[in-house]
Amino acid sequence: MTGFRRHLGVFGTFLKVGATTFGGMWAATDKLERDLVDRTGWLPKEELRASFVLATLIPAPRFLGLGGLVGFRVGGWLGSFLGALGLILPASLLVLAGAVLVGPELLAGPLEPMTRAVSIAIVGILFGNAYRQVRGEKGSRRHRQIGTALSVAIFASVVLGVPLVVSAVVGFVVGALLLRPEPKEGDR
Amino acid sequence: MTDDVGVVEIFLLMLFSALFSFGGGSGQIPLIQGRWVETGKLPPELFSFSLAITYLAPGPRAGFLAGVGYYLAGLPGAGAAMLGILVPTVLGAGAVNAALGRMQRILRRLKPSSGFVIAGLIAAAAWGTARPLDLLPVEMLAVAAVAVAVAWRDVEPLKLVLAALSLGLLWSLVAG
Repeated sequence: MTGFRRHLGVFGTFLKVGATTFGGMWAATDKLERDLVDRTGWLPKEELRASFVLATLIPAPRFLGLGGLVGFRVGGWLGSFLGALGLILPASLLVLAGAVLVGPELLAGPLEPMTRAVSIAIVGILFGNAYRQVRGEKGSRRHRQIGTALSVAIFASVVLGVPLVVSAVVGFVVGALLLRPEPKEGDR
Repeated sequence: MTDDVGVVEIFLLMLFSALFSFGGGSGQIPLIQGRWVETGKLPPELFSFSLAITYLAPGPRAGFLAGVGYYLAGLPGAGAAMLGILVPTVLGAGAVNAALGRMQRILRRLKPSSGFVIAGLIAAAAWGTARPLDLLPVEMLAVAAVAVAVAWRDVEPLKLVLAALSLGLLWSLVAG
């Protein structure tokens, strides 16, 4: 693929992601795996998953950081810029349209139930997505039980006030100690 | 729109706010409040409006910065705000990517647990979104119904958001 087409692909893919995902990066993990791993083949699954967490190390909003990081992997500095730009462009244009066309008194007043209904849907989508993530994991019964306990522990730690990055890092360390790659049939 | 704030100032504040965004947070919010809202350069209702509208918009919530930039300095202000947030994103992505190249062995060790860790973080994000809403019991039921639709029925999230948007609009009309 030529550099131009590659960069255009990065911009187009993230523009589509930015225009069709609601609720932030965590609500879009399934969709991102489909687009960035299955459809384009830009990243292996485990690298994308690591990128979800590594994006928190970038001094930017997390979802934007992910766009910049994946864009960089695919197309260098320009790819990073185009990935992040494509991701944020739809939301920015919509906010701008709102700022130009709609008065603030409307959204904070009569249309407040609409904002609340969307927020409620986003919370449900996030919880549903968390369950799907656990259900989609392969492995023995014991592997899945330990993994599920790890998910619950991370969730509980954040609810109790532990910073997200700390919970993620500790979770990965504990996970690496408790969950080893399971041998395939041919390895036995 | 105010004449007191220029595009350079908007760009520099967004750039500076990156220092407060490690960990994936929105470090821009407190800085905007301190620099422009509390000094009267940006009316609080316009700031709140920019934030509120991102809940109806797709993609990253940082889209609200375009609104803030627009209210302060028109379309050039919106452009300066966007550029100010994109520059540290790209520089940070380059730095993290350089480290990623040396982390392949570690990534292999993390692979078996990564899905479970991500699941915990997604659930934590759900909690973080739900907590300030102070949900009523009937709204908790709605959350559960949406979660079931996503988890077991594989319903496309976009359809659910559009359904919520329509219901909310109906609710607005009835209440209004």
